[in-house]
Amino acid sequence: MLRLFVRRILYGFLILNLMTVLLFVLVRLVPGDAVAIQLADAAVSEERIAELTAEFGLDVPIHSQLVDWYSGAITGDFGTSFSTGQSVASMVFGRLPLTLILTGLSVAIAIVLGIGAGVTSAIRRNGWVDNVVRFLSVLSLSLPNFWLGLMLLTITSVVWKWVPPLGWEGFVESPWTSIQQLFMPALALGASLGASIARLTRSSLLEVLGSDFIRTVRAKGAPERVVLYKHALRNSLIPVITLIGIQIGALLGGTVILESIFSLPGLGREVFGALNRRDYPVLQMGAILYGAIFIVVNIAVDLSYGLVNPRMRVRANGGTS
Amino acid sequence: MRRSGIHRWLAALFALALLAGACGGDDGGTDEVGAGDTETDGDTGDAPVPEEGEGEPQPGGTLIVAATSDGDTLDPHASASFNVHNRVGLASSRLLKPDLSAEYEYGEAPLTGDLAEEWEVSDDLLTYTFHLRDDVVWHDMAPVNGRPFVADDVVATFERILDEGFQAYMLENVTSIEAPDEHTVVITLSQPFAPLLNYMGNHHMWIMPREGVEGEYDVSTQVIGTGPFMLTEWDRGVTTVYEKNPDYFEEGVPYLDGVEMPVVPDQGARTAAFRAGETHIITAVNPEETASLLAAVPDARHLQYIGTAPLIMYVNMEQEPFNDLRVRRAMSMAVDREGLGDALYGSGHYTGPVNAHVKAFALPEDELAELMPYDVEAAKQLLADAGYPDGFSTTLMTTAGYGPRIVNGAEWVVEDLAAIGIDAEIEVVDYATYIGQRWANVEYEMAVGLQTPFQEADEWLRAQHHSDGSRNWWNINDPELDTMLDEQAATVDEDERISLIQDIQRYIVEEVSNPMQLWIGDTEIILGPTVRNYLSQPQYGTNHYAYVWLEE
Repeated sequence: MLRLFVRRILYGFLILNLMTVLLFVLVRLVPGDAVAIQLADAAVSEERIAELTAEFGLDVPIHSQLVDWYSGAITGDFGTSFSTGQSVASMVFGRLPLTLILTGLSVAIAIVLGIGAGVTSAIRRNGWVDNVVRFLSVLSLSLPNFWLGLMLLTITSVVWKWVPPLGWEGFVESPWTSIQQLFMPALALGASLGASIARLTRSSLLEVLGSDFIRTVRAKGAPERVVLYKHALRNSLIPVITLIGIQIGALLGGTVILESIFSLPGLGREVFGALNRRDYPVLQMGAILYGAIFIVVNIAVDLSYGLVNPRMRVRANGGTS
Repeated sequence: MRRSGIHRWLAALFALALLAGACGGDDGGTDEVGAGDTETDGDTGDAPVPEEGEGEPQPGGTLIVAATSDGDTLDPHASASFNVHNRVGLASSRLLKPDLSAEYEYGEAPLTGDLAEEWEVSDDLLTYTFHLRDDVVWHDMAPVNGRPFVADDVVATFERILDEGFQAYMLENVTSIEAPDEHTVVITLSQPFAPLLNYMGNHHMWIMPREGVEGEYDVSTQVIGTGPFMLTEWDRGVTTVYEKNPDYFEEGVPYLDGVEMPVVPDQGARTAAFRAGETHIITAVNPEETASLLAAVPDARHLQYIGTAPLIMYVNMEQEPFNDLRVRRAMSMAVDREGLGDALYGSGHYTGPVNAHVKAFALPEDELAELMPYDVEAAKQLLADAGYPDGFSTTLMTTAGYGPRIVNGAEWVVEDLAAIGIDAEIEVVDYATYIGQRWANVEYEMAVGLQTPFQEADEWLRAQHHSDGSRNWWNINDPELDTMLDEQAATVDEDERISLIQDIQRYIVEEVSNPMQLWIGDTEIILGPTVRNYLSQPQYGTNHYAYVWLEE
């Protein structure tokens, strides 16, 4: 188990570095530079453009820029934003909690709704509840999350003359306001994951319920509750966990647009803005964070198999390396 | 006809814009100021006369206006963005400003004093003397702490601009800025510079205290000014909060206790917030949204102003066949401007090289309509004369960064050009690539886009059409035009300059025909039921909020 863990961490670190270098070069190859964009609204002189280019360190070759960046990053200095002049670390880390909370909340909503609906649907197989759940899950899978978000917002504004309060104050500072602000985007973001979970839980549960060991458990006279929750559900959750692990990446992508629709100052909006301004240092830091989150989630998913299914623990320790 | 097809497309895309959110130009803006009396203006210090029928001013309340996006900094010398200058401007003052009295139509306000009470220009046109108000204090915020405003602050600000400001070109030919006493500023020029007074009233020329210039506080995150409101909180990307400045030098204003500008990037969300009554004013709405919002909010009021950022088509004049004037004229004649304006904006006007909102200098609309005829047969003939009887193929660059409307405009142009045999293929590039690389470096054959809402005729003409112009992003190189452009910049007499500038525009349309102005749509603003006395002029800075009140 420990060996698996350490190996995963090392791989993750390697991948993160490869990604860093690749991104560093790629963003600089994309046309359009930060200086020209920043000064685009004015009739500004050539000298001023040259001055700013030097100030941003963009007048040296890419490999020297990369060396500069790494020597700063090692000491924890990730540079200064071209557009705000603020430290990149403070800008990006300040935006991170909101995005994590939003993603976490949407995963939580998806799990509660998805597993609940999936289990109900499997038990009442082919009944009307099953049909409703199946219809709703196909529907939520087909609706893009931004459309759903905008519809929620428009409907509440038309019907109840209500929209979530404007202006993010921070989750710790004003939790009630934050929950009002986060609920709709989290629902919109989690809807399609919830639908996938429901469908997968249903089919996986039905498959397990039809297997031999369940018949054995039933034959031993276990009550239906125990059959369902202790034996069947637990076994059918493994593919669901894999699904959640894979989908978290998509959810993080979705936060970018939902943060814009719901006026939330999260990491997604910050990084998207940085991309549009070609603010390389912010872009770099943001992408590293996204990459790190993705890697951590994947490691966590791998490890969680062990929690759900003891056989995996044995296999990992058995050293099949 | 294909047109009805386009119409349906547009309707669909406008509906989509609801989802995608449109790009920004908030309150539009620019200000052109007729200005220029060499004698003083006198009589400042009173709030402008309110509009009739607005009732009695009511003090109190907080005005909430959703912003489309936020600035990256509050340093007015680091960025020309409307985001920065709208936020800085509400808390700051300039030497001069457009007179916001209700009697002046949008775009016709003359200059009046802001921090300067009177000003004179010497007979040789090389010395400008500004007499400053003596009753102005800075906002009561550390480290400036409400000390009196003095001439030295103006000197410090202008020196910073000359040193590092993007707006240094507004102080062209300036050789010295001096403060002979606490309430006088003298600006000396090496040669006459006609736009100078207009630039003193420009929405990029906010005065900051010397403490800011010397780094005693961080001007990129804090504003200390002398304006009607004090900026008390700037949470980038979230909100900007202002409180009334109790020591503001104009008597009796502002009426509001405060202003808040929460950032709501999505157009659909802004619409929802306005409908729910969370915000008082909504800007940058299109005609369809306007109709639905007016129906949804019964007492809302609709304002329609001439726009400030014209739709343009432009070509790279160093490339064949665009180096041939006949080809450029043919392209211009091939576009049905009125049809395009109607389909795209449902409103608006012909516009020329100096955009129509700069009313003192712009060519009259009738004349523009004559200069830019829609004549497919004549266009074909011109193309044939130039040696392209069967037309040619080209690539038309545009960007989605201005919103779907501009891409639709490009599609319209493609169809019109096809009618004279020009086969243009659209290439949509992202905004940063468009403006930061392709346009600025003239890496395109032809393109359709928007022009920046400049204020001064010199920015519209010399910067864009002079062979050395900083915004000559189309490879114009015409010595005769250069001479004319230099001449107007040195002609201080207002009437004489207007006549020169109008001649230059005629010359550009007929003899250069690049960039080709297609249309200027109107800017639509909707005021909530309680908003009164909204005295807007085409400028960034939103300082007209000083005179707004909210009806109970």
